[in-house]
Amino acid sequence: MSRKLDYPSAEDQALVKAAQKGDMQAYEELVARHRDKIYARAFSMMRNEEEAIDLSQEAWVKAWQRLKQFQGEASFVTWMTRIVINLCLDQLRKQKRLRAESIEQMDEELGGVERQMPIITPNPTERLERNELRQRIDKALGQLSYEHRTVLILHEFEDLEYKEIARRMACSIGTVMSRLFYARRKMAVLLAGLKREELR
Amino acid sequence: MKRLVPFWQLALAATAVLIFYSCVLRSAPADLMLQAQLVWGTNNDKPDDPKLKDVDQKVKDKLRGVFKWKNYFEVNRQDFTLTASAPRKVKMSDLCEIEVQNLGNSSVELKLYGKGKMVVRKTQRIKSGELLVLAGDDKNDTAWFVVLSLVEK
Amino acid sequence: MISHEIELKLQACLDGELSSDETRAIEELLARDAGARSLFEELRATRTLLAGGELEVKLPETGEFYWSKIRRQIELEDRRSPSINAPEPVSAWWVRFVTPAGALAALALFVVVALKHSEPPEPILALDDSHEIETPLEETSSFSFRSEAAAMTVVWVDSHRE
Repeated sequence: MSRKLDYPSAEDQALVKAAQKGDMQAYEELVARHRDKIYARAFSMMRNEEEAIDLSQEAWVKAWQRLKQFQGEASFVTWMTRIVINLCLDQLRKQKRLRAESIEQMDEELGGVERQMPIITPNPTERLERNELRQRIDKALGQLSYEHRTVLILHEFEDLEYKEIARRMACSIGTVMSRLFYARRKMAVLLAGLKREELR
Repeated sequence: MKRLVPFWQLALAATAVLIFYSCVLRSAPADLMLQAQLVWGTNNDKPDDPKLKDVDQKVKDKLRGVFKWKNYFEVNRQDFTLTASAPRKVKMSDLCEIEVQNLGNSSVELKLYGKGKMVVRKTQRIKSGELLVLAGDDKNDTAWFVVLSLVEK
Repeated sequence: MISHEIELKLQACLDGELSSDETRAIEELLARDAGARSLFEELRATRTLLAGGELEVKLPETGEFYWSKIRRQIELEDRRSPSINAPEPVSAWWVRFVTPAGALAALALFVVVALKHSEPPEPILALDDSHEIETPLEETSSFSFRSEAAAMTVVWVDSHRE
């Protein structure tokens, strides 16, 4: 006797199993549930709506093609997030956005920039509205170069280890550490409302 | 005394007349009063052409509800009556023309021509309050829309 | 002033990326060096601020539109090369029963329609892309979707620009 799946109330696991058998409606439900999160990850990396929409859709298409490979080793949304991150990284590499960031990169290689920044002592009594804080964080992220932003996102928001970040970004662990250090110090400055120019 | 016509014969005759008229009415498609708008969707606050105005609120709300662009400006609007006789060509811009044909039973065939070539053809039943939209990307992350609707009386 | 190498080790200690020996060495440094402590605190405060501080961003278009493009691409890819996730027919086992039942139903329908010869046939306008939409130009393709909420049927025309 066949059991018809109640899509809206079914768990992800059940939907994935059904989609693996070709049930497009089950897959549609998975997309509906997680599209915002996957889009948000693409947007945080690309900082461009159009690109984020395209890449997140491409991720969903790729996931459908590879669905049988998904064995449930991580949650479905974690697995999907990894796919969209890889697509974004590929796209960023293709776009070769190094020219605009070459000055920052040179500074970073010389190990000079972040050492000029004074230590920021965060005011423990300052309480920001959660949403206001998120807005400021998002604005500050937009001011980082794509490589610094990426390493910060992968470490702080995706909880990846240095080794994993290095593998995904095709660079050394040392480079990951330097970029993360620079990104954090710059974020500290930006979130404290100070501009780099004001410190020179 | 006159013989009365049996009821069943009267009923049969009435039914035959009704069927006849319904056939006649169906075979002649009603005229459709339509409106076609060419709309430009953008995230810019002002249009490139300062003469363009916001599209009407109802259409704007519908487009906003589906598409990602913030603002929608009307490039052109044409009201016309579509009879059953022949398809009607409506010029929307220098490069864009539509051809609409009344298929009867509130159905239309809408063809879009760009630079003289047919780009897309769509057949659709069109009801009051509904929109039939042909759309596509334009440069600089904007979009064009051809919006067809019945004119509200 | 501490070296850049030590600065990175401070960060790695915060992130739990050091071995136990290295962690102990950094803890000793933190105990004696105020500069190292200040930097460590700054890094920790930034990490705390960022934790759970990601802005929630929503998809800027309707789910229907978004899904329709995904579905279309999946179907296109499946036509080009059947994916390794090629769907097995979910309902294969009952098709054997449905087919003869369907044939009987079709026959019954034909008889009913034939008897209703005084009624003009209603034009069938089912939402079937094969005859409802035509995109003759090679450099364009299209797909259609409907938004019930907006009472709108959309045909999106894609032009394939290199």
